[in-house]
Amino acid sequence: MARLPSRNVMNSISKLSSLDDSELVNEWLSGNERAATEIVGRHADPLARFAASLGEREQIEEVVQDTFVRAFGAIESFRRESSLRTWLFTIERRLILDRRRAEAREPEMEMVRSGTYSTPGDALDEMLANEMSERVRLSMETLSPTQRDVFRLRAEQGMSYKEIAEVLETTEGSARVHYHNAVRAVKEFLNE
Amino acid sequence: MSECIHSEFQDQLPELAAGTIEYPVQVEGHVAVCPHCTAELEILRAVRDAAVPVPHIHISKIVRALPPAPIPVREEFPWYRRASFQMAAAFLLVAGGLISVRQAGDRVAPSTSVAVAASPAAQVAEAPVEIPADPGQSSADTRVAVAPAASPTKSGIALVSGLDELSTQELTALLQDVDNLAAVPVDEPVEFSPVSATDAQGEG
Repeated sequence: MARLPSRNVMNSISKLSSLDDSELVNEWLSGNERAATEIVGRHADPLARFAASLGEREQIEEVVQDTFVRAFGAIESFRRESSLRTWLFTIERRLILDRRRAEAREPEMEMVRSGTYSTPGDALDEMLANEMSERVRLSMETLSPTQRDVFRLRAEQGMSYKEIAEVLETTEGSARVHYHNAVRAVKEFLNE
Repeated sequence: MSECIHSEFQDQLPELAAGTIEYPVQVEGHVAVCPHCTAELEILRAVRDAAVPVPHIHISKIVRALPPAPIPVREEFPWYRRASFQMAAAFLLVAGGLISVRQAGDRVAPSTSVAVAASPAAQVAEAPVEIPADPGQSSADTRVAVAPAASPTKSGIALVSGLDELSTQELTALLQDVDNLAAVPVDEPVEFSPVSATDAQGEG
């Protein structure tokens, strides 16, 4: 029989869940290990979805873990100018780009893994039952990489243009233009 | 394809599709009458539905891989900035100042000490009694020395017992000396005549 956590532990967890991300970071910096659990619990799934939207398939959990390890290792450089989520997404995107660059330098590994990226064929393989979803996914393949990233961050993560601009290291206006161009392209594809 | 002119609603479509919008009624009302936003909302919902299913993420595994939380460093004040030291230093300064002020006062006017009142009777009998002539003047020239009694005391009070041995003339001279002391007010106090309430009413 599992041992129930003590009342103090429960109070501590309850208190942490009521804190915002910035306060949780402060808690962790002051030595509270439980704050890390709360931060990871809040952002692991969105990071996993973002990794999937960037084309990761089989190593999503590893990417998410590496993102957190990298973030906590450099958390003193988190300047609170953006949200913690935006900062984590930025780290994850750079991490994925670094991995792809490293894989590009290893042609054999690239050949092995190239089959795991989201090609139209793979996208079709992952189709479930919804025809509309299939067509949308296909339409996404017609977008430029930047349009696709902006569109997915906006559509799947619900990020603002400001947050998207921070994650993709571009301007807010550019993110807005990319999003509207992506929506227009997807609509045209679906109306064909 | 033309765009919706109501960008304030169109910009909230992703939040509406995600179900995270705080006040959805207005946006939903606009979507109901705007074909462009209706089409975009359908696409956004389809994109969310078509999102690749992600594997279950093991939170505890990730947390175990994280670097340890930093150990908070307690700010150590140097010894001269600690409150206890500062209080002790302040006490010493005050005490030292009081002592030096007192010593300086003793050096300036040694005769201002109340020898008669503070000394035991035996000492008064043996030592000359110094009474300053005028507290405002220098004490060296104006003080008057009262000679001690020559014989041992009878009553235990040196001054009183010494007076017993004096002759009438000596006592008279001593009283004159005492009367001549400037420290003793020469003028008689102004006689105080209280005004009664009835007098005051009669005058008024």
